[in-house]
Formats: sequence, structure tokens, C-alpha cells
Amino acid sequence: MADSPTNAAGAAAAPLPVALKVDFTLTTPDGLRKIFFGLEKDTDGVRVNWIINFVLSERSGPTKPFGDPIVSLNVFVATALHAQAALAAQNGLTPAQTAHACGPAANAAMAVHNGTMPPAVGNKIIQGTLSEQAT
Amino acid sequence: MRRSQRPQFRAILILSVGLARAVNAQNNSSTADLPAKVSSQPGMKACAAGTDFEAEKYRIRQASVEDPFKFLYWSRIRTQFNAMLGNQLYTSKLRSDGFSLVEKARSANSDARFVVRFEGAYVQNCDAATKTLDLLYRIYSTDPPLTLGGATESQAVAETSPQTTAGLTQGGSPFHFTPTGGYDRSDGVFGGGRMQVTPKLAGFRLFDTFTAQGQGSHSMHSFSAALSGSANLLRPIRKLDWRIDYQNDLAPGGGTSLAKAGLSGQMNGETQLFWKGSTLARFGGLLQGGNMHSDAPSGLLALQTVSNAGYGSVKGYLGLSSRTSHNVVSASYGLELGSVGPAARVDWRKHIGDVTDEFWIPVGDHKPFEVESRFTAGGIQVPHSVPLPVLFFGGDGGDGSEFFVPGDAWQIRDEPVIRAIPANRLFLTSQGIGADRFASLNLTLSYPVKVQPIMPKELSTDPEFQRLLHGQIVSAASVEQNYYSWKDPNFAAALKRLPHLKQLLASLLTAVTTAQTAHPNTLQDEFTDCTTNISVADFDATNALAAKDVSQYGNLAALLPVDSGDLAQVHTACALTLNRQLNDPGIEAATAAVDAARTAILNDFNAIDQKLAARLAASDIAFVSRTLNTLFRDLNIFSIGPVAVFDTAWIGPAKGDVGGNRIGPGGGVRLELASYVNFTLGYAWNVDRKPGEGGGALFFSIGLRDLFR
Repeated sequence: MADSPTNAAGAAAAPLPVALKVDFTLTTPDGLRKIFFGLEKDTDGVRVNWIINFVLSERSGPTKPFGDPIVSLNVFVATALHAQAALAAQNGLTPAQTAHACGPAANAAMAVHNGTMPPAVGNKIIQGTLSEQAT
Repeated sequence: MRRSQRPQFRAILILSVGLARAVNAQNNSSTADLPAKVSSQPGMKACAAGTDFEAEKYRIRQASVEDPFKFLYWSRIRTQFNAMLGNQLYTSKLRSDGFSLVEKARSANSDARFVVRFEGAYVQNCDAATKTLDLLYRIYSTDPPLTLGGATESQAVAETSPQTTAGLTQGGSPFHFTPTGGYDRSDGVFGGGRMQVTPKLAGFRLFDTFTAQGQGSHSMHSFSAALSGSANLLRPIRKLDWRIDYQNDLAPGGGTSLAKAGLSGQMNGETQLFWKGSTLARFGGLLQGGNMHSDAPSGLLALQTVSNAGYGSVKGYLGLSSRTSHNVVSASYGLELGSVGPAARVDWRKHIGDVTDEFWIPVGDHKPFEVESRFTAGGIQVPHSVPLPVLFFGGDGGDGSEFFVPGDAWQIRDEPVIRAIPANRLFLTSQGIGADRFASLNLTLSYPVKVQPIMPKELSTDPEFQRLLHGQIVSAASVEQNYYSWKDPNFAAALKRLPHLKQLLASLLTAVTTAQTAHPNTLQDEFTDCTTNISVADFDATNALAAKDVSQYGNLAALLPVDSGDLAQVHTACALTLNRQLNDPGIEAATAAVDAARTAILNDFNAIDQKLAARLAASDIAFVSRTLNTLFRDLNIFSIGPVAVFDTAWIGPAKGDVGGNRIGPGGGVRLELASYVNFTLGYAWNVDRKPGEGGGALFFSIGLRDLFR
């Protein structure tokens, strides 16, 4: 049963949410980079997916327009990480989490991409971002 | 000071990658539900949660957008939007495409420092028989301009043009025209408009905006044309703006007419926020020259006052502005040094002090009780001579000519305002027409009885939405805090120790390799674990030294935690696990050296003033939070309600019935339909009227929407 009629008194039926997106965009002080980070809670039938949207744009001068993004990612979040993803979405990332993501996790991703680090080691480092302690 | 932001996006990128990798190994769905706290639609059929509308091939009967600022872009995309979604099969991709179309059309200011956005997609009016539904998008966003620090002018913009505060004014046509009008007994019914052009031409970088505005009636006119530009800078001055302006004004005053025409060039600056992100300082200078003219008989003029003159003047001004959650206050001081004719001397000096405050407290949802107050005082010293229009003429302000410097960004009032007396009709002093000193106090109290909030109550009070929004701001603050920690001198000291640490790790690796060669086929797992952890520590130390930006902070921090850091793992694997069984003196000495180096680095790292870093980050983010709170909790798209006013103004020198003090209480009604029209209509009584003065005055002003938007 996908729908139901309005009740006898003609009371209103609330719209059903099927997607919720919260995001922020940061432009660097020099005006050359724009970073978009979003969290999307999306229904797909009876299921709910958490999706991370990440877009990076750059330009050569602060008065020039941003062109097409140089990085654009839509990432499904694993079920096992939904609780931590929800926590990150609702409470934000701590300084320790952002520091870990900026440093070791970033380097690990590049090393795995370049073939200089085993994927298992890289995965462990990268996923450590969500388990970093709050500071 | 130039700062790198690369770690910010790397942080986000890597978090994304990490989560993506986890997806490959695990199921990616759950049965959690989205919040359903949205307003109901009368007459709509319900849509049942748990329905797969895409699999059941529902068709979109109608799609719509709810956005407080929809009027800014809707006319441009309505046809495309309806064609894209109307009578189409519902799919999640199509739903996303609809989002993308609206997002692109909103065309937020690309130079905004920080943008936050909430978007929701909803289905309603589901009909199982015809397999149709309605699709509704709700979109709310803000990218508060960098300069929304705390000036009262910013609060006025937020109230009368919230889309500007939300950062949505850069989209659409570069041409903007806003009609204006009003009534004053001195000026009569006057009308005019303001045209603004933002050409965005390559190579036209010094000035980015052309503005022309004017108003006229049977007895007055004012016209100005200006080229202006601005630049956002790094600390400690965050913004500079400059302006070349031509003004030509004629207004009745003092029983005659006062005319001014002149060309001016000015530059203003604004500091970063300080005092917990609540306050900013402003400063500026202006060079001006032109002519002033009046028809006043010389017998009515004070000594040293001339009715007609060419003039030149220099103005300097400075001030402080502060914004807290429910109060905005600005204090300004201005000094003008002027000369009559081409003489290189100071013929007059004008001093102006202006303090304005706006305070509001919510009394009911989105119904702020507002108290606007303004105290202004001024004085003129005349060593030689002064043109009559320089003197102070009081009365009802509002025609835009009552400010010390041109432009909207910083408005320093320089005449006594009392709404009970028509413009420029408070002028008679014991020395003649025009005052050389004044003080005035203006109070306006208002309370909207009917409102339509920018942010629907269902959303602004949704705890999940509040948490999600807050989370984005916390993430941004975390990135900022790491930046300040990275700039701490103690971090630099810790970083300097890394080359020595790398040498010690290399020595340890050599000792372990030597021991393994001497003990083949012994403790192979322990040897491997030890060398792996040495490699990981060396990897992070190497990257910290190679990086040139804030990612150094994360790499070094990874080495240090007591229980899980790279160097602690080296100690555990090599000293405690391997060498406790092997008892090799070379490994023992090398691990001890690494431990000592770790202790030294840790001491420097722990000396970083994290509290200061957190405080500076909070200051950086504070303006964002305050502006969001104002937009979401206080501002309305529409409001109407009564206003009460109370003015008192004093001019001098006073003697008997000339000059002195006037008091003007009054009341009226204020309507604000943001971005379409706002007006205030009222009447104020001249309680202490003097001979020749009226018993009161009607005041009325109106502003209409930008016709080209």
C-alpha cells in the first residue's frame, strides 16, 4: 500500500521525506580553492543510504571563475560505519579526526594509489580517521 | 600571512576514500528512516513510508520548489524544471537532477568564504491507483558575506534584503534597479530609484560596481553616481573598499535652498574580528571638492558663514562595531577639515560622533521586539569661514543626504534627526540660520504582529536538522584549530627534531636487521612486526618533513599518542615483544634512543597552546554561527506591526525660543516584505513646538524590489 487517502475530516497528510542533504563549502582565504563537503541521507525504497559528497574546484586567479571540479566524489558509507558517519554528520569532525585525515590518511591513500603501500595497511590507516579520539 | 588550505580538502578527500573502501566490504544499507517533521499540506494524500516509488514506477504528476529566495531564479528555470520533472517516471537520478538544476540556478556567490545548505526532497499526494505522486524540494542555504562581522548596516541589510545576507544576490542579471520614494512636508512627495551595474568585465578590476541613484520632487533633488571596488584581504585587515563618487543635491532648508555638488574619492578598511569574534574596527578617509550654494540673505547668516563657495575638504573617520546574539552596536567618529576656495588652510573643522544600537529579543516565534537607538552629536569650529550647507540643519532624515560620507557600507549620521519636524526645518539659532553644534537621540520600538519566517518553524526547530547544521560548523572549526596549532612555535620545535628521529629509526632498523641475520629462522613474526612498525613511523616522519602545509601537523601527531602512536608501536613491537625474548644489546640501545627522541618531541608537542588555537578557531567561525542564528531564528520574509518612536534633538547656540531642545514622540506601522517592498508610515508630534514650527509631521518611506532580478 503506497498511499492512503486523506482522513474524513480532510486533515493534511505530511509530505514524506525521501532525501536530506546537509553540506558546507569552504573557499580558501586566497580564493583559489573551493571545497564542498556534503552528507546525504537518501532513501532507496525501504532502505536508507548515507552518502558523502566531495567536490574540489580550483582556479588560477581570485577574479577568475571556478571551472569544472577537479575532484568530484559520491561515496556510499558502509552500514557498519553508519553510526560513526551519523556521529560525524551530527557532531562534526574533531580536530584529531581532521588532523588524521589531513596527514596519515591522505598520505596512505596516495601511497596505495601509487602502489607503494599494501591496500590492507592503507585501509587500516584511512579508516582510523573515524575512530580518532575527540580532543 | 598566506596560509595553505590544501589539508582541508585532503582531509575531506581521505575521509571520503576511507569510507568508500569500507563500502566495498560491507552491505551499504539500513532501515533507518528520515525525519518526517515537515509541514502538512491540506488536501494532500499521504505517501506511505517504506514504498519503493522507483520500483513501483510512480510518475511525477507535479514538481515544485519551496525556497524563501525562489524569486531570485525561478523565472529562469521554471520551463526547464517543469519539462525535466513533469509527468516523468520517478527515479532517484531524476530527483537528483532536479536538485542540481535548482542548485545551479541559485548561483551562490562563488567567493563566499563559508556556505552551509540544507536540502530536502519530499513526495506527497501519492495515488496508488494512478501510480502518481507530487515531488517537493525544500531548499535553504546561506553563504554569509565575509564582511558580515557586526556593523549595524549589516543588520539593516539582513532585515530588508535577507537574500543579500544569505549570499544569493550575485546570481541573475548584472543590472539592478530599485525604485524608491517617500514623503516629507519639506520635500513633498518624492520618488526616484537606484541602479546598480556589476559588469564583471575582465581587465576591469579596480572598480567592479557602478551605482547611480537619485530622488526628486518639486522642491528637492539628489543624485549620485559612483564607481566602487573592493578587495578581501588576509589578516589583520580583512577588507578594503574604495569609491569615486559624484554628488549633486538640492534641498530646502533654513527658509532657502541648500545646494551641494562635488566629486569625492574615498577608501575604507575593516579589520578582522577580535574580542571573541564579536568586534571589528573600521577606518577610512575621503578627499572631496566642489561647490556649495544657497539663496540665504546675508543678514540671516552667522558671522564667518558664506552662502556660496567653492570648497575642498579632507575627512577621516574610524569606529568600532560589535555584534552579539541579539545586539548590534556601532560607534563612529569623524573629522572634516575644510577650506573655502583654493586656499591651503583649514577654514573649518567639523567633528561628528555617532553611536547606533539595535537590540532585539524574541517574543514569540520569529517575533522580535526591537529597540533601535541612535545618539549623534556634532560641532563645527570656524577659524576663518564656512559655507552655509556645511552647518547643521535638523529634522526628519531619510532622504540619504544626512550622512558624513557617501555609500551604504558605513553610514555616519551628521545632522540632528527628529521625525516630528520636516527635513531641514530645525535650523534657527541665536547666531542665524544653521547650527554649529547639535545632539540628537532617536528611539524606535517595533514589534511584528504578523510574520512569515525565512526558515519554517518545522525545520528550524527540528533537532536533527539543528545537529546536522551544527556539525558542519564544528568540522570547519576543527580545521581552523589545527591550522593555529600548526602555527604554534612549539610545533615548529617538535618538527625540527624529526630529522634526528629518522636517523634513530634507521639505526634501529639496522640493529634489527643485523640481529635477524644473526638469528635466522627465529622469532620471524616478531621481527616482521618490529620492522613494519619502524617503516610506518618512518613513513609518517618522512611525510611530515616533506609537507609544507598544515598536513605536517597530522603526520607528526600520528607519531605520538601514548597507546596507539607510531613510536609507541615501535617500542611495543621491538623493545617489549621482540627484544624481551632476543635480549640483543644493539636493539636495546637503539630502542632506548628512539624512546628518548619521542619523549623530547612529545614535550614540545604537548606545549602547543591548544586552548589558544581553539579560541582563535572559534573566533573565525563565530560570525558564521551568529549570522545563521539570525537568519534562522529571527528574520522574516514578511512582517507587519506597529512602531513607536521618540526623538529629541538640540541645536545651538540657543537663546530663548531659537535653538535649544525639541521632543517628538510618535507612532506608526511598519511593513516589510523582504525583497519586494518595505515601508514605514507614521506621525510624530512636536511636543515643545516653537513659533513658526508645526505641531508635528507625517513620516513615510518606501523601498521597492529590484525590478531586474
